[in-house]
Amino acid sequence: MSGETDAEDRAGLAFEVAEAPWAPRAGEEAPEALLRECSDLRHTQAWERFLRRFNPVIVATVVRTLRRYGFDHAGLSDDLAQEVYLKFAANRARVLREFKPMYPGAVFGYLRVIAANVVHDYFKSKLGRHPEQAPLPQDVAGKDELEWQLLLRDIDDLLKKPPTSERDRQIFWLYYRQGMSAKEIAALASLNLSIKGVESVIVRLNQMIRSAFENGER
Amino acid sequence: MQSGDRGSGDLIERLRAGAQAHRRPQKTRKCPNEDRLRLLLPGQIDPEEADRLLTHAAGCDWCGTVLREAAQDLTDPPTGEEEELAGKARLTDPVRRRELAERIVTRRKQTGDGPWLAIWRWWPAAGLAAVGTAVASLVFQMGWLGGVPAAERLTCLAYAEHRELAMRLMACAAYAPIHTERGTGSSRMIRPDLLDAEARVARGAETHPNDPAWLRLQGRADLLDGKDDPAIAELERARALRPKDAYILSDLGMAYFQKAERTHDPQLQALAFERLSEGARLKGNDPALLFNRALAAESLYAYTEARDDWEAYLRIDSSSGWAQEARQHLDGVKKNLSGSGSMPLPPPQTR
Repeated sequence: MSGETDAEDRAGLAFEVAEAPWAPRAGEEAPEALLRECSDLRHTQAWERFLRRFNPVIVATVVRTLRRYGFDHAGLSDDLAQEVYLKFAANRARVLREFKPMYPGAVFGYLRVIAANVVHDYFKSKLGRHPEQAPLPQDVAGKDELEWQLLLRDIDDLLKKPPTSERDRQIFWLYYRQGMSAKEIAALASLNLSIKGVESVIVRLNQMIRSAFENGER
Repeated sequence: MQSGDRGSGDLIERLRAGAQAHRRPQKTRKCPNEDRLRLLLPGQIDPEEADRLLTHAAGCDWCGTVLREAAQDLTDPPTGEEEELAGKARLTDPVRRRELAERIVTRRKQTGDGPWLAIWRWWPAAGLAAVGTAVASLVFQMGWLGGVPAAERLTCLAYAEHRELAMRLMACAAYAPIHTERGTGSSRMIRPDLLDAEARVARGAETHPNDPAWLRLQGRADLLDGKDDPAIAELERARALRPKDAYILSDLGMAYFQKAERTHDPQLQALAFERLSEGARLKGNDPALLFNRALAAESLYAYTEARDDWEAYLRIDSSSGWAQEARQHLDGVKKNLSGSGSMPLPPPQTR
C-alpha cells in the first residue's frame, strides 16, 4: 500500500523526538562522523567529544533501564555508563564499526540500545533476573482461553493468505497480541514504516478480518 | 464449536481482551537473544534475521514484552528527572571525561602496536639492521608463538569461570558446571576473565590478521561472548587457511552447534556434526572432540553414534566432572535406544 513505507517520514518518529535534546548544534560534527573518528581508538580528543555529546543520552538510558529492575542508585548508573563505553571500545571498537546509518539520527537509537543491553546483561548475569513480570495465571487453559486460542488461529489463518504480507501479519500481532502501540511499532526501524503506515496496516487488516467473518469465510 | 459459529461481532475486542487475560510471558528455548531483538529498533539487523525475530516476537509473550518495553524505553523522551540525573552524572566532569578517553585510547595502544614492533623499527635505525632484524624477528616469533598458548589459556579460564556452552573447548581440561543463565554479549563488568581473553586475542589478531591460530582464538572469544555468527565467519576463515586442523574444526563445530541451538536449524546441527567428525578423524582420542561429537549426534537423534562416542569418552576419562556429565548423557541415550527414554523422538520425515 503506497504511503505506508516512507523512510523520510521517520523524522516524525519518537526516536528523533526523543533525541531532539541532543541533536547536533550549529558547528558540531555529524554524530556519524564522530562515531567513525572514535572507532579507530586513536584520538583522545574525539573520545572526549564523544563522551560530552553522548553521555546525557547514555546515562538517561541506563537510569531508565535500571528502573525496570527497581534500582535507582546514582553510583550504579555511573558504573554501568562506564561499562557502556568500555563495550563501545571493546574488540577494536566493533560496536562502533558495525553501525550502519539507516536513517538520520539512527546513531542515537543505536547507542541507546547498546546501553540498555549492557544494563539488561548486567542483571541477567549478576542476578539472574529479568524485569518484573506479572505472575503467570495459576489455571491451565480454561474454556475462555480455548475459545480465544481458536479465534487466534482462525485470524492467523486469514492473515497467512495472500495478499497479506508477512510484515503486515507481524504488525497485526504486535499490535493486538503484544499490546504495542502504533508509535512503538513504527519505532522498529527494521519495519521502515511511519506511525501512519502502521495505523493504515492495522485498519486495513481489521476490515479484512471483519469482512471475512461476516461473510462466513471463517 | 465450529470456528465459523463465532461470527464477527466484537471479535477484535475479544481478541484484545483475550490477549490481556491469557498473557503468559514465559521464556522458552526457541526465544532469540534479547539483545538482537532490541537491535530491531535502530534497524541494525539484516532483513532476513529481522523477519525471523519479528515473526517470533509477534507470537511470543516473552519476546513481545521485551520488544514492547524496549520500544517504550527508547521512544519516550527522557523525563525531567532523568535529565537531571544525567546532568549530575560522573562524566559531566571534563576531567573525568578526559581520564576515561585516555584510558580507552591507551588501552587500544596497549592491545595494538606491541613492544616488538617498536623494537623492529628502532634497531635498524641504530645501525644494527642485520643483527637487529634477526634478533627482533626471533624475539617476535617467540613472542608470537608464546602468545597463542597464553591467549588460549585465557579463553580456557574465561570458559571455566562462566561456562555457558554445553560443548567443551579443546585443550581446556578444567571442568566447570554449566550455567543455565546465558549472558548475551555485553557482560564485561562481571566477566573480567573474558575481557582479558578478548584483549589478548584482539592484540594477537591485529598483528597477525591472516594467522589461522589467531583467527581461531578470535572465533573462540566471540563464541564465549555469545556471538555465534562472527565466530563462524572467523573460524571458517581459519579453516580455509588450515583445513586439517582439529582445533579449528572443533571450535567451528561448537560454533555451528551453538547457532543451531539458537535457531533450531537442522542443517546447522548436521554441519556441527560434520566438522566435529572431521576433527575426530584427525585426533581420534581427543576427549573434547568425542564429548562434543556425542552431543552433536544427540541433537541429530543419532543415538547409536552418540552412545558409541560417550562410551569411547568414558574409556579415556572415567572420573572427572566431564565424565559425570558423559555418564548422564549415556544413560539417557541408552534409555532412548531401548524405547524407555524421555529424550525427544526424531521429527517426522518431510519431503
